[in-house]
Amino acid sequence: MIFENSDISLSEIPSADSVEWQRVEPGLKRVKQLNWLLLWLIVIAVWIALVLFIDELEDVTTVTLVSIGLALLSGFHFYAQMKSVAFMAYAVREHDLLYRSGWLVRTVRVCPFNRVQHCSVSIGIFDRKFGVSSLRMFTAGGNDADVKVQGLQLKVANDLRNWIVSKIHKDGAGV
Amino acid sequence: MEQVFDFSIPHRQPVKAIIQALIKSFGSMIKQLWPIIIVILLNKKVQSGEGSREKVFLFFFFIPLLVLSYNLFEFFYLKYMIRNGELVIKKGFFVKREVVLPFERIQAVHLDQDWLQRLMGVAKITFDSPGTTKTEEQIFLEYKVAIRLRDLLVGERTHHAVSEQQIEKSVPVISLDGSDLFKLGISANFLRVLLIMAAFAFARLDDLQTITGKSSLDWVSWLGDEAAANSAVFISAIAIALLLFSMLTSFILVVLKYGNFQLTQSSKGFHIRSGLINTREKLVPYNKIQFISWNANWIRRFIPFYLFHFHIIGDYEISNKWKIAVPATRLSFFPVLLQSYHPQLPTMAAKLYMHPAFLFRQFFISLIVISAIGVAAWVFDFQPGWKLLFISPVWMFFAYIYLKNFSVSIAANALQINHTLFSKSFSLVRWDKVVAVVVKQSIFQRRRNLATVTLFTGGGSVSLPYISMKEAGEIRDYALYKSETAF
Repeated sequence: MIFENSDISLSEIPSADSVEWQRVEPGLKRVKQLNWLLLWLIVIAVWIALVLFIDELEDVTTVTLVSIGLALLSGFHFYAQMKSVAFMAYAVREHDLLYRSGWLVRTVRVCPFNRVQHCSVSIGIFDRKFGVSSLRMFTAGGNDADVKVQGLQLKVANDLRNWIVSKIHKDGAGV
Repeated sequence: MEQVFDFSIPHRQPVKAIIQALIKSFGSMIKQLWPIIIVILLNKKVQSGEGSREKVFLFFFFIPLLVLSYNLFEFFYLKYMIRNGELVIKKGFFVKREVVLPFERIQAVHLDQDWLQRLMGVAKITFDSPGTTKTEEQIFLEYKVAIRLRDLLVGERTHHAVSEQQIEKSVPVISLDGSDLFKLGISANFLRVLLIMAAFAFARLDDLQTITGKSSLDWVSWLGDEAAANSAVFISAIAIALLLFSMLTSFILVVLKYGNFQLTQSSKGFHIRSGLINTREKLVPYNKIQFISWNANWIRRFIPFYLFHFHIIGDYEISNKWKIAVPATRLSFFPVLLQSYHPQLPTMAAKLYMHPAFLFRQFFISLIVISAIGVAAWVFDFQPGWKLLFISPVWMFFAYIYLKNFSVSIAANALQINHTLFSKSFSLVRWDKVVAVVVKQSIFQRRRNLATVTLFTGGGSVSLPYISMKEAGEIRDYALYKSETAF
């Protein structure tokens, strides 16, 4: 036992390890793939423009090496995105929401509802096509402390937002 | 006779505040443009009167007129008032904007006076409120009016007219005498000041490259040549002179910053006032304090002198200039400064330590950095680059000191983190102030069943790196329990 607490023992505190994780929607994978494609098309276009217009880049070895480097990087980026989506999940408990993400570095974020300032649901162009959306819980702790759950069905995201907002109004939010 | 200022009707900023703002904006414009102005003035064509008259006109008349006119319009079109428990600021000539700050959202009110503002009897009042915007709302007011507005906002009075008699009296807690100020000045981190001065000098040398024809790197190699050509005694004399100069500068800076320092307390919070020429005032309500940290640099830790920081909501997004540290020149100040938050945790409290794997990880990272430097030095044939390889042992030494000193004391209502490297640093966080918890695991940490826990509060975050996963889980669960059951 790490610390003592006269009011309640640690064994009585609900553990976040035993939550039932809900996987995010499979549509998020498609969204990530399209975002990846768009990003790398821009990178490739910029690279081609540089090769065509900058005289110093006429050297075949340099162009080949950088192109191979970019190809490897894009491949790694794709793989990391797909592995990351596979790990993404969320869990809603009575008093807080948990969200796990990442691949090489795995992160679990937990935000108590009584510390949420406000909530928002956002949908991007690709999100709309694949029926997914994101729910963001804003706290007084700033961007790093906010929890953004990606890959929710629009209805689920809206229902969750409304439920959290009504909970904030009922129980009060503070810092 | 009692004076009453009615905030419920819209007010403009006073004329003398507009005058000082115009003088300041002119000054800051000169500060920004001086290298260009020098280049124009030293231009031979301008000196001989041939051409470039347009440039002179542009830089000495047209641009200042444009900037000053813009500021004048913006200043004149700003109005403020208090309406139904909200501070309303209407501003903008070109783009109209209305900012509404509900009283309960205002976390802290800052009052600033530089020498010109003190001379003219005006003060700049700035408000912090939590949110996604980083804009700081500010108004220039007569000093007495600014004081009354601050007391009204932080005191959350229900009526909108405040008289002098209604202002609550505060009790003095800390005021620095001459000997305290001297010790504080002499123990300032002069090495840091030396580095800042060097960076500033390099930036200015680059600005003047068009006149001198030399970049900052050229000056560095010139210095190297001069050093090689002169004796060791001469170089030592120059080094000692530089150190003495940086010590004197840091001493003056500290005296200017903490001269007339006073910390008073009332039933609502701490009132901090500091500054010899430029005065800054800050009101820290007790209930807005998210966590407290204190640190003593590598000189002050032996006195011991600590600088206290009250982290209030939104502190992470305001610039350092608004953060006023409280110099605790006596250990007897600690209980008073902490009494409204949580007492310092005793040394016998349960403790958590970092896992030694942290050192191995740092060694691995330093190897990557060394490899990158080595490859860069080889590719660009940059011989001095090899000298940077000494970074690794220094890096490891720093990592070892950090690991050795790091500890987390844990109690029922708070945790206290000792994250000392060379300066002694502590953070005290109440569990119920936690707004979010993040548990991170890299591949390296997963293999060893370790994790890094970050506890976010409204005033910033604290990290507990490389603790066991079991401890990380317990910290997370306990922080959530305390936060979710707090009212």
